[in-house]
Amino acid sequence: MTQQKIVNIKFKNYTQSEEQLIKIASREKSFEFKFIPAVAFNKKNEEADASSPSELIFYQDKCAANNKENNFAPYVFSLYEFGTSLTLLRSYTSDIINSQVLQSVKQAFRQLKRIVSKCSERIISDLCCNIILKILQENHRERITFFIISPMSDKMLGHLGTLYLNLRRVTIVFLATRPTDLMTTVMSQHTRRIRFDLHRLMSEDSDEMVGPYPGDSEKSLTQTYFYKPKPIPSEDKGSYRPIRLDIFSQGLSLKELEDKKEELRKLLKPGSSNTETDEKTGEPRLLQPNGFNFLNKKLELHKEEFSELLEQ
Amino acid sequence: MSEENCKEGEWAFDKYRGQCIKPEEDRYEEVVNHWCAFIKRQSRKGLIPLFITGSGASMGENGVPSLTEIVGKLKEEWEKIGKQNESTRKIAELFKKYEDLKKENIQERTIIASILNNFQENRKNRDIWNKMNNWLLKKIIDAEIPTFYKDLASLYKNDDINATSLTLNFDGLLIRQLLTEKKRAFSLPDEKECEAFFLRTNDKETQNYSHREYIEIQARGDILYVSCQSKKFCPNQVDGKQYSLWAHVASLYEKNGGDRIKLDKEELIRCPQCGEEGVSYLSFPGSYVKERDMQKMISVVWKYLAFRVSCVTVVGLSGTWDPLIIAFLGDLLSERNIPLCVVKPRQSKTHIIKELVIPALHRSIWVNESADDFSKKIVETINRPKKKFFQGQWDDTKAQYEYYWVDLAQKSTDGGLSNLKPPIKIGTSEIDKLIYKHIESSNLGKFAQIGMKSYWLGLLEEGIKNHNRLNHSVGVMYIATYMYDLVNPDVKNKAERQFLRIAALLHDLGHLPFSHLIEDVFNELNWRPGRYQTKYSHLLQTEKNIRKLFESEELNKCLEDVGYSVNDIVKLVNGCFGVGYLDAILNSPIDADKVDYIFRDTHSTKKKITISPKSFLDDISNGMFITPEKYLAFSKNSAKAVRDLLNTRLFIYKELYLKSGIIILEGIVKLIIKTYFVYMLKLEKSESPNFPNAVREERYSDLGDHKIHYCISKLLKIVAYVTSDGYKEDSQNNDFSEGLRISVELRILFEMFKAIREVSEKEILNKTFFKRLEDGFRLICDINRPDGLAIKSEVEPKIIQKEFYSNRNIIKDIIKTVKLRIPGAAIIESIRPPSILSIAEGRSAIKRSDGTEESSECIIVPAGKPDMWNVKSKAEKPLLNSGLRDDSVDTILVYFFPLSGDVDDDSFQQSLNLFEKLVDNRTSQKVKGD
Repeated sequence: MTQQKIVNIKFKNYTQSEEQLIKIASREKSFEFKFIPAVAFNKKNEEADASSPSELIFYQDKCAANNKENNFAPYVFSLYEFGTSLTLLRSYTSDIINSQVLQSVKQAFRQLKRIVSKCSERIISDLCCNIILKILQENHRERITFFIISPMSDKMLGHLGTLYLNLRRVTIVFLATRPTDLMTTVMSQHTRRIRFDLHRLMSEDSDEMVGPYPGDSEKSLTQTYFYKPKPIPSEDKGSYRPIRLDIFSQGLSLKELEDKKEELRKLLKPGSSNTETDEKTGEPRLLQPNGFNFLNKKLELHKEEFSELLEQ
Repeated sequence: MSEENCKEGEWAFDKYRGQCIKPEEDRYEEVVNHWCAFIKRQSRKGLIPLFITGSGASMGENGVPSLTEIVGKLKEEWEKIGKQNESTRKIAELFKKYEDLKKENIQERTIIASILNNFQENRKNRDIWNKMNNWLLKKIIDAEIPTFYKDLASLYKNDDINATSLTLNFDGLLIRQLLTEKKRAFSLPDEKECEAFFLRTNDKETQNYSHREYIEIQARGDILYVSCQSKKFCPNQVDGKQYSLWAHVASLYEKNGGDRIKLDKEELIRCPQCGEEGVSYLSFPGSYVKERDMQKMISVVWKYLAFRVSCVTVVGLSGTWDPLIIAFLGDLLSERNIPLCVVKPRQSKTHIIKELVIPALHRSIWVNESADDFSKKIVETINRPKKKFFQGQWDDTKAQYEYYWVDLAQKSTDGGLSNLKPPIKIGTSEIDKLIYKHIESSNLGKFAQIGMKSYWLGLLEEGIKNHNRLNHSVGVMYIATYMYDLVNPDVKNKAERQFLRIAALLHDLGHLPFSHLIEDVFNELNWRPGRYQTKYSHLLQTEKNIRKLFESEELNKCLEDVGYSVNDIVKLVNGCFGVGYLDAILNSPIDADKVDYIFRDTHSTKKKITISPKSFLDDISNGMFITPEKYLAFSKNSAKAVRDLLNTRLFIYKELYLKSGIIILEGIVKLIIKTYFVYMLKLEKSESPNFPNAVREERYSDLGDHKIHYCISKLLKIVAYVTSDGYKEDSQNNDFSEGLRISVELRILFEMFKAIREVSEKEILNKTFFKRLEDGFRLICDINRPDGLAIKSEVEPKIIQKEFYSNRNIIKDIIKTVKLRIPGAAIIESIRPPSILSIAEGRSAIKRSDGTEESSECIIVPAGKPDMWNVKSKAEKPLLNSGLRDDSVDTILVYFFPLSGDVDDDSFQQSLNLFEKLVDNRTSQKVKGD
């Protein structure tokens, strides 16, 4: 059997807080809207020792190590970096922001933010797909699992869909743990039976992955599973949060999907070297693939750097 | 800087907005030059300069008396009589106040108004009032017409400028000047008369320039009236009827043979009804009456004139007593974004300058110069002879012939297509040759006009070679010139014709291989160009390429000689230049582009259609004309020809471009290109599109723009490779060598497919997907083989269906892949292009430099009933004016009409049906009538 590799991807958007931005927008004529999408990833082999951080790669590090390689250049992208008055913004977004909206700074700003967030979604999905493709190209025999900690977005799925990836050796999973992200669209439509299911899932300790849960349509590009890890009795550090897994399943048969599910269950075993928990206390713990805590730290560190950039 | 070199967007009055320009400054020359160039340029679009004149324009040494002089005269007469009673005491007080203020150099409107009103309305003082009026009339008749009015009259008469003025004066000097020059001129003091003038029909027959009427609109200021004073009965005495003094002055001039000296006072004030002597008097309204009357007048101006105004020049008007005029100007300037120039001889800032110029909100300047000097300068600059641009000497032996139209013209023996014959071929002028040289070296000649369709439809090597974008562009230039020459038989404006030819030649410069298919690929990938354009279109690329082309100094120089800018060309190509008929010739449902491709494509693919190119070109010459509003209109035979062409277009869309077999094949091609773009561009080692430095440097507002740009440059690299000489040898030993020999597009596709195969070997690509793609590619390539699927035009549709049926499994599989599991819109593979006819595509909103809106799309509007066509309210204005009210049955008018928003396919079809019905009805009515 070929070697299994695991890749963790996490991304973040840095902006000033909304109130702050509205203040700036109403105060200054040359108002700048800055947002900075950043994506971080690391990869490791399945059996690697979790305590050896040398195996982990952060893309900012790689850039620092080799400046010549443009592919991993520090990526700061700002749509409105040239400081725009509202009039200019209006010429940019001719049909989207109309004169009625412009009457209030707050409204105009909100509208603008909506546009920008669409844009950032697109950039982020582009960055993620690029990372996935790079890794696939570098390792074209290994089986690779990509964990992306975020609820899936249409943009991301659209981009992945155009790649027509060979999903027999590649697994792409979106992990969501926030309670608001847990519900599928069908669940939020007040279907009682399924709500009950989610409730049962939250309260019961079962070691099984439940699913696939119905999504938007039968032919959905992803299949949704739920998983509530069972804590190891000897540890006694409290229960885990339930996890929603959206497995990207373009062109996969049901049997292949079942195999993937089994693989994932093995990978996400509590207490194994492949998993870790978050460092928050007081709440049910979050079980996540090993390496995400490190990514979190890295992104937080960069947030400080970015915040300086934002304030400039 | 000469006026011809003024570029749009760099106008001096934009640069110096809100500032005072003095004649001794250097920039004065620049402002005047730019002002004149602006007037000229806008006049080409059918817009007119508006002059607003106040009392300052008429004053001079021997000019019309000012209000101060009038009051002085009244005082003089009053003192002669010297009676003392209650009313005179009041007048004495007023005079005293007036004198006091006069010493302090203040003119108080209310006091002057009270003095005048006291004399005007008090019967006891009527004698004094009449004496003053007699004196005033004599003064006015004897007044020498200032140079300003002479110059203004020359701007009126200039057919290229067509100035119009709105006056607050009572002297009628402009009208007298025009009458002296034996023109039909009227002063219109009444809003009803004014409305009637604008609504007069503009039939083609009466549109004769020797009979043009000139008007001066009199916004109610002070008006000289005449009333009949006969002691016997006269109808003019009923209700104290009055008429404007200048109302019937035209008839007097005709009687006297247009000689100013013979203008007789008695004759002027003689009652036209009874012939007895009348009395003239100055109507000096109080502010209430004045504003009430003026408002009515201005509403008429707003309704019928404002939308055609290009710029406003204010002369001799302080605006202190006319707040309404200032409000009107404020609205006009901000709504239409047109420039304003206030001419003011003295340094002091008048009300109008304070309100409209100094805040610099509008494109407004003020010139510190007397009206006479300014107008002299303007007329001089406008009449300065143009630079000659037509310099090229054509060597006939080197003529570049395009094969289709030239053949057609040479074969026509009866001379019907004589216009199409040389000399309208490439290179009648220097710039034609230069541009042709440039675009010949571009890729335009390599790409097939209808993409892969030429190959699938069984065209042989020679056919595909000739049926390319370059030949099409030249053909469009021929047809555009042909249409232009039809509507402008004497070709007054050579520069405009040249400009149209250039734009026609360049209209497809941005086309890539695979025709419109590449646009669909970007749009289906949801890669959008920057600035929130909703989708990618070849027009964007065309704009880029045109700008790039004119970066060449040689070409730019030539274009400047013609008198147009690159912006103008881009606008005309996009159909929003602003001159209705030019836009219609190049960008409308019946434009030269469509005429060319309909005939060219059907000819080269041997598709049979009902109309022949010769009869179409003959028919179109009968009844096509330009309306006074500069729209292109069709009547008589040309309207029927246009209808036939629209029908044919619909027919060939169904039978050729969107034929069921071709749609499936194009779906496969799209999928291959798309997969190539997504993979190969992302996996490029050094130049990944997603982390480019360019993003920062060039400030792409959207990553889509960068990716599109990147893809296009990659595509052009492949094109360069596959069209190089060495390529044929490289590709000799593969299965598709025959197809590769014929079609450039197929070569490109083959290269793309090879790249995709590499990805699949690295096990990145889904194998099933690749297998289907491979089947699809084989299907595309084998289509033209004897045993393959022939989609030749002469083959019955049933046979094609049958052949497709035999290959149904492959096709089904491909379509299954193509439509595989769809949640987000990004990956939906639409088999059918989004719009059947390109008419449905709304273009991006571009605001013209003069502030008017672009004409985004044209629809056809028949005579009579505009409301049937759902014409939006904005468009109705010129519609009501353009003689469409004429309901006569023997002409059918087809108007190309600017309309904002999109016209979807259904509504187009409906309107076409409706139009057909109308045409049929009219024809049958006419037959019955006969």
